[in-house]
Amino acid sequence: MAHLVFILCSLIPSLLLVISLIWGDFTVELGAMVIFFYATLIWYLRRNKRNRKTLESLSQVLNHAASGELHHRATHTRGYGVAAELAWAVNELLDVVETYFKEVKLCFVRVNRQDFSREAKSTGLPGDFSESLKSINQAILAIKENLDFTEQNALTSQIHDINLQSLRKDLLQSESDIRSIQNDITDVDCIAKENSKVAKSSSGAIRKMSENLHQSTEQIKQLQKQAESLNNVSDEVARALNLISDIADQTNLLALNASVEAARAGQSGRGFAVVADEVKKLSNRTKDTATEVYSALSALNEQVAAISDATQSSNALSLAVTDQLDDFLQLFHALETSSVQTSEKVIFVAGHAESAVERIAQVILKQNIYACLEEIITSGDKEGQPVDVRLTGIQSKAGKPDDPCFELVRLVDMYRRGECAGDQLILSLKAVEQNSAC
Amino acid sequence: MLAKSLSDLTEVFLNTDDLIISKTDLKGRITYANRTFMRIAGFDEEDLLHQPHNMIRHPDMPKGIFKFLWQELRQGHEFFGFVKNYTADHGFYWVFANITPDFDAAGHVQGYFSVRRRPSSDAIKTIEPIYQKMIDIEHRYSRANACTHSLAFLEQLLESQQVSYERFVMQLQAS
Ligand SMILES: Cc1cc2nc3c(=O)[nH]c(=O)nc-3n(C[C@H](O)[C@H](O)[C@H](O)COP(=O)(O)O)c2cc1C
Repeated sequence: MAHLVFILCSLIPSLLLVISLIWGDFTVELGAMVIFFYATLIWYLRRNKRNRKTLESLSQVLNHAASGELHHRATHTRGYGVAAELAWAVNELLDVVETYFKEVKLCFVRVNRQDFSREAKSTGLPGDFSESLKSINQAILAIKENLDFTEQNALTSQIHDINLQSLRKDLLQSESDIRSIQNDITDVDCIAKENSKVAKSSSGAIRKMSENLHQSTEQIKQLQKQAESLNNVSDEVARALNLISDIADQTNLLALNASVEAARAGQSGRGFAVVADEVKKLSNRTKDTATEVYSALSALNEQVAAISDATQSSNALSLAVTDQLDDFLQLFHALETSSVQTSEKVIFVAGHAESAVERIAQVILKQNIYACLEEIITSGDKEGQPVDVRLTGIQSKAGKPDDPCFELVRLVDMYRRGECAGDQLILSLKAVEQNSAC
Repeated sequence: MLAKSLSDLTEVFLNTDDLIISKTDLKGRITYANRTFMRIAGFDEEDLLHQPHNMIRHPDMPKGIFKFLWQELRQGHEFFGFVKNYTADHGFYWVFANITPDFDAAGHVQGYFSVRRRPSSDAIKTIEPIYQKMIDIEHRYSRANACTHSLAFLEQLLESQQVSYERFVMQLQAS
């Protein structure tokens, strides 16, 4: 419509010219005016067309930019007035925007490859663009620090993992070691008890032996005394025999004198001579008997001396044996007491081993709880089935509510259910550990 | 003659907030130059468009650097470097240039984009003698071998300092 009005309006001068020609009042001035009018119109239209072209190319550039291609520009705009100014404004805005995006992109392409050497260059960019690039550089620095930290963390956590695994293995090993020590100690206790029993019965036997020996020594002493008194008696007998022998000799001498007197008396002394002879015979027999008794006594004496010697040496021997037995007895006594002591010590050690086993079992349990927790955290799956089962398994071993492990399991479970946050969990864990340490 | 040698010595300096931006097609012909470019270099848009970019190449620039630039661009990498350029009236200006490939929506390289910033003056002091040395080397060899040798020299220099080219120029610019 506007177009039509414009064309109709632009036709007015030519219409005027035609009318003036028809009416015959055409003047040069009018002709010149019409020519001037059309020249101006043509100039204006051409300029308008160029402007439109510039604006069209500008709109193309903007459309491209809107579709994500920032590299298009409007060119050939020299001296085209407002449109040209507009084109340059758009171009320069796009320069800034494109530069900005290139910087961001090029920088992050490298950051993605973990290359932090290329910072975004903010120089030359205006205001917000430059500020934004500066913040990006700071962010990249933070990413780098974070990455370094994460790497470090990953490393330490790997080491931690290895350590933890070997710790658990070591602990299990220690537990079984201590258990076998416990068993060995029980064996030692049995042996010690057996020793003590044997020592006790041995010392009983020895005591009996020693008593018997004492008794027999006593008897030997008695025997010796009796032998000595026998010796004394035999001396007295010998003296009596000597006396008898002397009497027999005197009697013999008397009988000899009597027989001599009887012979001198002749026949009258005949009977007396017989008596004297008989007395002589009797005294001779007395002497012989005394001599026989004496030699029997000597033999007896020798026997008694031998007995005395024998009893003396057996007495010494039995004394020595008694001494040895006493030593033995003392030894067995010592053995018995040391066995008892050993047994007592062993019970003590067994108690220690028992509590060590308990403690280690608790440490193992705790390690398992922490391992579960780590798994829950790293897998991110707070309702993970296998962990669930393991946790219930641990829970059944964790004992009474006052047991720190029980409390730990409860905390882990709460975290798994999402009922408590990470930092709260850490605080609670620390509290539990502190309480169980003291 | 005198006028020319005088203007040869005329250095134009960029401001810190100046960005000289130009774009080229794949062959290095200029498809766009911003007004800062025109102001500093003293050219009109019509003088620049469709011209090869070496129209402002300064003889103090070693060939090897441009060879390296094109090597990097062909591999899809960006390039950083200190470049000395001619102005329209044969003055000169130093820039710290960053040239990157332009990708279309399909991801194909369809041209190159260059942003030039004001270089650190210490950097120019350091780089000038290195470029001079490279040019001297290039003069000693045939056209075909010149770049290989000047680049080998540069590489050796960087190796002795144990830095990559990019690290080296970045550190210079930061100095
Ligand atoms: C985007 C872009 C910008 C460039 N800017 C310049 C420049 O400012 N100065 C320059 O001498 N060469 C520049 N070059 C390199 C030139 O294309 C050319 O390789 C260089 O001037 C060497 O010229 P020659 O190949 O004729 O020796 C640029 C190249 C590209 C792709």
